[in-house]
Amino acid sequence: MTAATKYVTTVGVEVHVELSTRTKMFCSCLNAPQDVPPNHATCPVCLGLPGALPVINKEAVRLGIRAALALNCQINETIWFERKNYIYPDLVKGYQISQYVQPLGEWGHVTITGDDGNEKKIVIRRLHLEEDTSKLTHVDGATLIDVNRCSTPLMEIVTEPVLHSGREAEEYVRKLRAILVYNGISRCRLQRGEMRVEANVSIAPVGSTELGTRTEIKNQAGFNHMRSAIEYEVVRHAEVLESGGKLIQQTMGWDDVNQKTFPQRSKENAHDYRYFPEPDLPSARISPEWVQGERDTMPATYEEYIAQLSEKGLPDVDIEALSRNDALGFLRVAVGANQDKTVLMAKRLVKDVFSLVNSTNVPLDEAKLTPEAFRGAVLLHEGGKINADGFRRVLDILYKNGGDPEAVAKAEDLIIEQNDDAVREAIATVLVEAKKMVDEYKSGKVAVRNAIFGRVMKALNKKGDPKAVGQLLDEMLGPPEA
Amino acid sequence: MNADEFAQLTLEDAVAGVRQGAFGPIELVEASIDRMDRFEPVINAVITRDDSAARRDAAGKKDAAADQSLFGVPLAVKDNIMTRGLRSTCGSRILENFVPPYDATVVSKIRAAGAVVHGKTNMDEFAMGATGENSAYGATKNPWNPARVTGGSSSGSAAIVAYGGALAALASDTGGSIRQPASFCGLVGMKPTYGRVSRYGLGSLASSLDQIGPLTRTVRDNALLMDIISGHDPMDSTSAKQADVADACMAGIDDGVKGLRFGYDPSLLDKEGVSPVVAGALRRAVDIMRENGAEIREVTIPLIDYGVAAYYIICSCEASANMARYDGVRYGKRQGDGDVWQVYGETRGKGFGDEVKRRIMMGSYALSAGYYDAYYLKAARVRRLFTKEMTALFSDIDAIIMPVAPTPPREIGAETSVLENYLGDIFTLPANLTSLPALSFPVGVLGGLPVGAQAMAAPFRENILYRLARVAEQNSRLPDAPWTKPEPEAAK
Repeated sequence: MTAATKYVTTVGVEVHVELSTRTKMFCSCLNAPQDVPPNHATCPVCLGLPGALPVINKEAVRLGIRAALALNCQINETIWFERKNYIYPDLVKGYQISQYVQPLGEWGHVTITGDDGNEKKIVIRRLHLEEDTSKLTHVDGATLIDVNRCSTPLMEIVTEPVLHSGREAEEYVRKLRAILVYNGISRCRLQRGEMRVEANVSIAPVGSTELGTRTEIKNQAGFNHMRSAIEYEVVRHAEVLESGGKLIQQTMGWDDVNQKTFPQRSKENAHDYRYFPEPDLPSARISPEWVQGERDTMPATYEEYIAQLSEKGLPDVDIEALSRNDALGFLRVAVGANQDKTVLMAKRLVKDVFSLVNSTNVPLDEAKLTPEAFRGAVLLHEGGKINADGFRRVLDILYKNGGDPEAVAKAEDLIIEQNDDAVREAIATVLVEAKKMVDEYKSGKVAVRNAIFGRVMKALNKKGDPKAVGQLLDEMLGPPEA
Repeated sequence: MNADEFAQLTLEDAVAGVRQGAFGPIELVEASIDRMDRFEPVINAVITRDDSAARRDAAGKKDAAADQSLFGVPLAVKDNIMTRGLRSTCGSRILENFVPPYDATVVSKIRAAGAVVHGKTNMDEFAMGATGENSAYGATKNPWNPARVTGGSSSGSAAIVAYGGALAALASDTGGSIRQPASFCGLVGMKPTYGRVSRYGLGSLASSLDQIGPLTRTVRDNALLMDIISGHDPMDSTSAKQADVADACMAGIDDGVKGLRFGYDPSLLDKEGVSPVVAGALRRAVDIMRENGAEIREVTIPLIDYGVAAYYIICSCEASANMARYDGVRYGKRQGDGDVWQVYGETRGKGFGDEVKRRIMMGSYALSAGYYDAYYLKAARVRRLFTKEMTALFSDIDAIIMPVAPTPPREIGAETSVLENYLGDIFTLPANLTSLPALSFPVGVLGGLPVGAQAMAAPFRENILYRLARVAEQNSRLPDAPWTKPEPEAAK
């Protein structure tokens, strides 16, 4: 019997997600920690000054409710916050306001494909709200503190220990991320730390009713790293047990260069967080009416939306591309009420926007292009106000700089010339200037017509509607004298 | 108007005087400066004052808006209430260099009403103490007798009003910190209903127990100030919406007590350690009410013997967390130059006094794994039961009359045990545990020291307490009050 068949792997995953609110969890500072200079999004509350008091950001609770709904959680009607006490330079108050006894949501699930190929429900034990800490940067023996991130809204989502491999864990976090991004709860940009993953790993002999000693793998840079670290730990645990050794409960880091884990911190001096109810915040009621209101305005689920796109005739390859690029939520918002444009917009997204992702090396979630601006650009093109070249130009600018599509089109002088007189005038000028080509055309060399057309479009600054210009040109050119 | 005339002005008189042009804001500020210059060397009521800022502020006050009911009057503020640009130390060494960038809501309110903030007053460190002796800036002396304590923790706020250096002062009360020094200094002190006054900008001791209230020489002055600082504040999640619709504190203040029903628990006076002076004052207060037409009913205050234990557990638990932000990292006085743990140790070891350390240790212990249920949770249950039973008493009485402190102010520096000190709060902490409003008011002077009584009412019924105290005021005399004297008594 090999180690692989002798032991069962058990993995539980804890995910921290930064919520996409405008302001912080307990004050009205902007929740844009990386978009303003360090320590500029701060106030007495998030600096933890004496006398400052927290006020719950209702929008964060609303996003929490929507996350709980998207993850099929039960939502508690009464919630409150606790103080989690520990002292560290990134924690301005010496405690973190978190939820302990009664989380916002409990007992949800995410469906993945299990290792046996069947559908598997990954049980979510709890989903709670809390505040993030400051960001510490260690340079030249000193530590810099950026309080911008302090007290930004954070959501913690914890599974039961029901995952049985690194692969299942990876699929779970990818699916979780996709659902959260699709529902507009968080942008989950890993590179910005908007989603952070920790995994608890243990192995136990097949048939054992008890879990083995677990190790915790902290904050991995990517999901594939998490998977590698889990897989490495499983092998290491088995080796320790097989050689008669004893595992110790500890926190591990992942060394991606050498492809191995290393111990970070022993759990022997486990923190006693001395939780107690936060006296500065009375308990809050999450009324069934509120929850129902959110439920009523939830979009189709992630899975349903994919099915809908397929029904509308979007090819699987496009759906796959949208999903891989986390663009389903972007598409859903962009389509908005223009349901009949769903396939069109999806194709434009895949063809034109994803090519910008490649050419600029800026992922969609870091780009300046908003779903609303994308919709505007598509509709401008569809409405015949800009031609295909103009559309790509507008998109390019929006992607890099943001802005309003119509304003961009105007500023770039891309609005199609719809005045026939102006077009006729341009054609007439070209016909005079390019008399030689016109004569060739008249004499039967009809292929020259395209060159003449190109001259006209150039004269129109490329903003002519090709079809309309072509018709007028043919009309004025007349038939060749065969 | 000279300084001695200023010292005897009521807040109401001062406001009226400015309005009528009898004197101006600058004269009031100059008088308060003069008064402070004379008394501070002996009394030590003020930690920080900025005379030139106060003068500038007063000089800028030309025309009162109609609703500026404190226009041009200097008020003192306890040093744990944040004042923008004016150092606020909370009585602690750890904040000796801390200048807040913002005003507490109550400070914004009194400034908006036209007051000049002048003098940040001495206090027991982070409001932990009942004598004023636990201040990093030295004890405050009682203006009635500088050998005695003022009480605390609002020692400086009480003393400066008592010697006539300020027309009134704002303070905070977590277990008696306004009411007990009021009693010891012959003043009126209100601990409002929890949530009636915003705590935003009050350096927290125990968040669920703290309230800000006024210390004044007269009952009407107190109600006047209360009506200005009360009100719902969106910056304080524990502030009550009801604060905006409750009866004004001034409502019916001169209506007397005829027909009101007051409860009185005589068994309280038999408790060990209750001084005959205090018992006498309480009986006198009850007699005054009876003589003025109130109906007196004997009641039993339930669970009072459990109050001290429950209070000190809850207070210490919350305090242990509230003190954690003082680490010298972002503000405050940083000490040590080793790694972060060494800096924490030095900063907090040297920055905090013994009482603060004691409560951090007690609170951390009571919250720790394995002890939480036995201490914090049990105390929270006692508190809930206590609140239920106390509130029930008010179904057929309007107020309860009880002592403030069990004894008159003791001598400064006297040897006392920690337990004795804590037991001294037995009559004042029930109002904090139960969120009820309670008012301390003077009843008389015995042996050269004032003694007060306390009344407690149902939530948001502060106006009943003021009616009661107003009757007591009209029937009591406070001879030889320090605000009538040109110089402080010499320490005896």
